[in-house]
Amino acid sequence: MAVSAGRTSVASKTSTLKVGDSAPDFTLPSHRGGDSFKLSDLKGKKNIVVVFYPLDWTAL
Amino acid sequence: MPSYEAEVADFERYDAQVVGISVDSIPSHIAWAKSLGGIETYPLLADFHPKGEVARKFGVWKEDKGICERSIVIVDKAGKIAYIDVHEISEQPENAQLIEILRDLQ
Repeated sequence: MAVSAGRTSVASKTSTLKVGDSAPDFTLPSHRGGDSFKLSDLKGKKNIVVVFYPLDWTAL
Repeated sequence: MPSYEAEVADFERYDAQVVGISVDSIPSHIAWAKSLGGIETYPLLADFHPKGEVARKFGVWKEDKGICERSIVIVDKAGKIAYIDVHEISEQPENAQLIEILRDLQ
């Protein structure tokens, strides 16, 4: 699937979250190996840009 | 996803860490990253087992397709959600807009 850059935003909230809510914590394994990534480990340190994408081999 | 690798300096300037999440497995992430010449500056995370659990928590799960929406959520340093963009699935959101949001968080 070809993916082009664009500004077609579908929504600024999700079915469970809106701006201002506390982010749900999560822990997931990383392709770089080592410890799993835990969102709350970066609290007070970093802004996190969480990019959900449909599948590998698609967004080029 | 590779576009974030190229602009990592812009994200770092605003104390931001990018993470990519899909339902693919770690071996798939590794193979895909390798095919793109390597993704070293941010992690690809596997929402693989239980499949889509994190996407469900964030409300971006597409039950009919078994994948997540193309969407971006910015979590600020306090752990609050500062920005949400659920995007047209065939498009990659533009980084410039994200950088603006991050700048405003400073």
